[in-house]
Amino acid sequence: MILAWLIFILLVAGILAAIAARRSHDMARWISLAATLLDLALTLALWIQHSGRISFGNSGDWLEQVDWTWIPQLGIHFHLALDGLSLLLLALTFFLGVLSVLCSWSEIAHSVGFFHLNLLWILAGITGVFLATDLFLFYFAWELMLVPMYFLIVLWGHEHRVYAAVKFFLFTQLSGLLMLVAILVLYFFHHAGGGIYTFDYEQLLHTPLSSRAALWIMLGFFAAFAVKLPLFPFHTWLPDAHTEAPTAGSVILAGLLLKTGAYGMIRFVVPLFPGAAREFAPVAMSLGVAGIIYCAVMAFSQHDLKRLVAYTSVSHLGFVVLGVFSWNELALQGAVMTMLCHGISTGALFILTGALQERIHTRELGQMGGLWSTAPRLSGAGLYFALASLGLPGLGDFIGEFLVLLGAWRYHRVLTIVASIGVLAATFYALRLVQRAFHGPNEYRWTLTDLVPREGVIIALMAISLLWLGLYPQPVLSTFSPALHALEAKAQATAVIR
Amino acid sequence: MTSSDLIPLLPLMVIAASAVATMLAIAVRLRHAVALTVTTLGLCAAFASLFVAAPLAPRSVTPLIRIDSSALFYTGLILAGSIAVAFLSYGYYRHHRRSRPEELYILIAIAALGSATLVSVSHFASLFLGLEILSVSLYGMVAYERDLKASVEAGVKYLVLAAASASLLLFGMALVYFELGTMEFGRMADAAARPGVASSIVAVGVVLIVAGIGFKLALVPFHMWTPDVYEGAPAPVAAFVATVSKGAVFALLLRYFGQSGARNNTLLLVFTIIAVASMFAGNLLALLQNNVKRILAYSSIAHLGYLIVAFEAGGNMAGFAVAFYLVAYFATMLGAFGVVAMVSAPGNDLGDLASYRGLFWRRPAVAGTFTVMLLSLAGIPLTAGFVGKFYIVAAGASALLWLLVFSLVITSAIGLYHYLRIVVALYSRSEEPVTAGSRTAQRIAWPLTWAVGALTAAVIAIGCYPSPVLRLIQDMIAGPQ
Amino acid sequence: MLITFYVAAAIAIYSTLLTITRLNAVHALLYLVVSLLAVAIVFYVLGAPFIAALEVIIYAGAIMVLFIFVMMMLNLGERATGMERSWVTPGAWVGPAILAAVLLIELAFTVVTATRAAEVQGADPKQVALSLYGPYLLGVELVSMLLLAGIVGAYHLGWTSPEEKEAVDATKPDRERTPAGGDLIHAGAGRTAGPPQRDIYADVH
Repeated sequence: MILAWLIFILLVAGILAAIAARRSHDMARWISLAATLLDLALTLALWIQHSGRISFGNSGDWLEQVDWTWIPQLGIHFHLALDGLSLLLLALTFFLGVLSVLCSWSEIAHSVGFFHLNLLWILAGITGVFLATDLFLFYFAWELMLVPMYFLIVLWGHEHRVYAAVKFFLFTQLSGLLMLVAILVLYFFHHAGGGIYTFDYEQLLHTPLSSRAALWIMLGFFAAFAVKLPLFPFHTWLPDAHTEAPTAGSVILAGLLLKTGAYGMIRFVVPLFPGAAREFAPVAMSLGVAGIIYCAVMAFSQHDLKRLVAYTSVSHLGFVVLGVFSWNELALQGAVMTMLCHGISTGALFILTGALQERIHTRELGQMGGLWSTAPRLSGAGLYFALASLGLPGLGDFIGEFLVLLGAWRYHRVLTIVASIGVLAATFYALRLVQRAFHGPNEYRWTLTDLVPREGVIIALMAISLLWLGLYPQPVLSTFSPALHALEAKAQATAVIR
Repeated sequence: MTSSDLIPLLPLMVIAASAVATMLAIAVRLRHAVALTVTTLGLCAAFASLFVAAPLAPRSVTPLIRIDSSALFYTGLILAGSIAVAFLSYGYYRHHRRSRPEELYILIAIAALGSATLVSVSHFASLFLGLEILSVSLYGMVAYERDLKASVEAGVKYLVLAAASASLLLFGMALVYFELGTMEFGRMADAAARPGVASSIVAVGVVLIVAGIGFKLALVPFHMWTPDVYEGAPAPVAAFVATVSKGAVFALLLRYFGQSGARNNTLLLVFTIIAVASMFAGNLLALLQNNVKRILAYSSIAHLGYLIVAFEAGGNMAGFAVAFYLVAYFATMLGAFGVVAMVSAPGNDLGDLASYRGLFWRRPAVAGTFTVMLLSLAGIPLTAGFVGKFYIVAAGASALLWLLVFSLVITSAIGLYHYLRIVVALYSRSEEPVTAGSRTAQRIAWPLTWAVGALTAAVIAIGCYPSPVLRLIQDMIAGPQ
Repeated sequence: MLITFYVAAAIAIYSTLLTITRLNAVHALLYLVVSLLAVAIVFYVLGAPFIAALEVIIYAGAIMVLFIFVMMMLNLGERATGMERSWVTPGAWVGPAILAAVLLIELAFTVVTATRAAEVQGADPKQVALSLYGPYLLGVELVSMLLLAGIVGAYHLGWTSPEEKEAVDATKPDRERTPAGGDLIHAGAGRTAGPPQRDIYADVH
């Protein structure tokens, strides 16, 4: 029940914010903040409540679930379920949700109500994606987050927003429809096998499939997730969308939307089609590694600060793919860890970029330089998160990538070695970013206001959580590891059936 | 025909009576509100009479008409659509006495009769008569703004093409009759199985019939008239053409092929080509348009293409999918045209996309409604269109029609783009003076507001919780008879 | 038998083509009458004398004559008389007359040699009536609604408010009368060319 509330709170608050904004813009902002905070509090409460239950012993059970009949004629249930993995991703969702409401407090000046409606509905869609265990519901939520995101980019974005928004939309929509077809085919195969029409995840795990059919259906799912992730070479929408989106949009895109792709791979692609995924793993991992290297190089050659950060995103998510398709405990833990940390560190970089743009009205690296002298707190934060991004030990990203590489080493050595070159390349682009933007002479004589308290709080929260993840990741690891363990077991069971 | 046959026939008789009653009422008292009231009450009574007729279904009343549960279901849908159109017309003509809107209601009722006949036929003769009743009343409705060249031109175009297609249809029927010796759907399957029947002549006949029907459905390559007619016709009439007329003819298509057993592989190939062409042409050509009514026209072409996918799939699932999709499509299209009717005035239909720019900032409720409708047309979750499209893809996938399913997937992604184009226009901040919604000074008449509000509620309710509608459909539609 | 069918059918097509290509409405009507007569002959040759008779009586007889009467009666006055005289020049009536003569010869030939399709049993009026008021009763009722739709539509399209019409006609000479609003012949003309129309509903919005 509480899971459904998480979604409904956001949906309702979105509408309330839109109505309230007609009276006062601040009211809309406070409503959104309250809703996201409430959800965050609920999630943390769930975490605390279940912290005792999360263990390897009862890893087969969901921590919490809601199962309502929705469209019985088609075997569709409103079935939400929570395990350790979803729990952490939800926490990340609402954490970043709160921050994106805060960071757009002054950036968004027009149509505030509609903005917050879209923002909250995207969060609701993402929540649905992380919780859904009915594939129809999953697709429903998957599509639900698209339209508000499109609005966010197209109405509050920067110069080339229409182009970027349309590109984003067409890529994700087309791949999403392919997933729909795949879901339906799986549904009919299940019916053909057992005579039951159902979209239930747990039941579909037991669908008998020929290996050929499994491969094709898996590709349908994979298409949607690979575009969303985004996996090289399907990433071309991402730099445009990130660059043109408003700050909150970029934060949500990089921090959360991309994670839905990764989550889909972990939750659905491998457990549902273990054989096909194993068969396909070399291809997926090669693409992931290619993405790591290619986008690192691309990031190095960008002049637009936001575009640079966008490319680093693709590069980091290559590690996630590498981890997921290695499909062993270490690699998976690393992949999830990377997802969480990347969400925070890249989100922070986007917030800083947004703050910078609000002040100097440009994102060109060439026009910056020497900002440290005029805005030390902002620049210091920039350095901190750039270092996190390059994988400095002690910060969360390091743990994630390290684990991924360890795990992948067992599966494929050559790819792992190539991927670790990517870590090295990260040093170059991250340091270039810091060097160009914050160090050197202040040629353009910028005098900036440093971070205001609101921004300071946002950045500090992110910095602390990243440090926590880097120094003492055990609580987090032990929360999601049982879930991963259960998924591995499910995949194992499915592989045995086929 | 006996007196006990009259009860199943009650819905049709009540619709006819309401047309006559409207005519007599406005002859006594030429008032807009009177015409609306009489027509609406009549159509509501017809709707109520469906429940009287239902226990007696299925029943053949003379060879011409067969009232079965699917006929009753579609008649109900047609009546609901016609009532909505009547409300739309009232709001549209509220401040415009010059066009003499009263007669429109007679035509709406007669067109509803034609449509209701079409969904209950079991014989070529009644098929043709139903189609002609629909066409003839639509000529008058499309050209209703007789002072406007665009409207009259649309009427003439519709008349000429409808007559041409009717002659194709007749010729097709003649060929089928010539070879099979019967015009009753129910006897055709047996007749075709007789030795010595030249199946090629029957096939040509059926293809001609499909061409005649395809014109009414505006399927490619018979779609040329659609954009012009939608653009020229008054907005409520365009809504009628897009929904009631097409829905009735589509139900007829299912009925004919279901009862006569005329499905065969060649024909399915023809339909595949038509469907793929319609989906692509509808969605791609819409990209080139800058007129909302024309975009909706192309969109309706594409949507009929989607419906053909389900038709091809055959079987129970397809029957449900078509019925559900039609419900969703009716509500959505009527709502979309309702919005157009809200911001337009007779003789000044706002079509131009530019005039919708920034509508949200002037009339948020209207623009919000329009957004819901457009998203439903695009098949986005939380709207009826999503469930409908889902159902269609499910039907297609269950019959393994990969070409059609993937065409649907690709084209609906393209389609999304042109719907979003309108949506973006609605929300963009425009500096230039705008014309849409310039009727703010005048209050929109309550029937229009209520109708559009109800349609919006229906679209969202069906999108969120489609179960009751699905249950109704499963009870009523028993797949191909 | 076959040859008579083809001749009549060819005349039907030819005269219909001429009907739709004539610029003068009266000339077109003359060809339309011929076309209908030709169709009647086709029916007769195929062994359906009753339908053939109906075709002649109803279409060629009643409806067409009505058309021509209405068209001539609408144009009163001296100028109209002159115009009518110019319609019925030999060039106009010779064509239809020749075609009609051919049809007449065919008819006579068919009647004399009795070369009607023997194998087709034509329905007699009684049978037609029985089936119309038996199994096809609903069809007859539907046709009545069809006609109602046609009448209402035509009435609406043809109607102009009397005040408006008078106001227009009072200020202009006879030949410059504005065409009635529902004049289908003018439909579409000048939609693309010509000056933009005045927004006659400017007061509404």
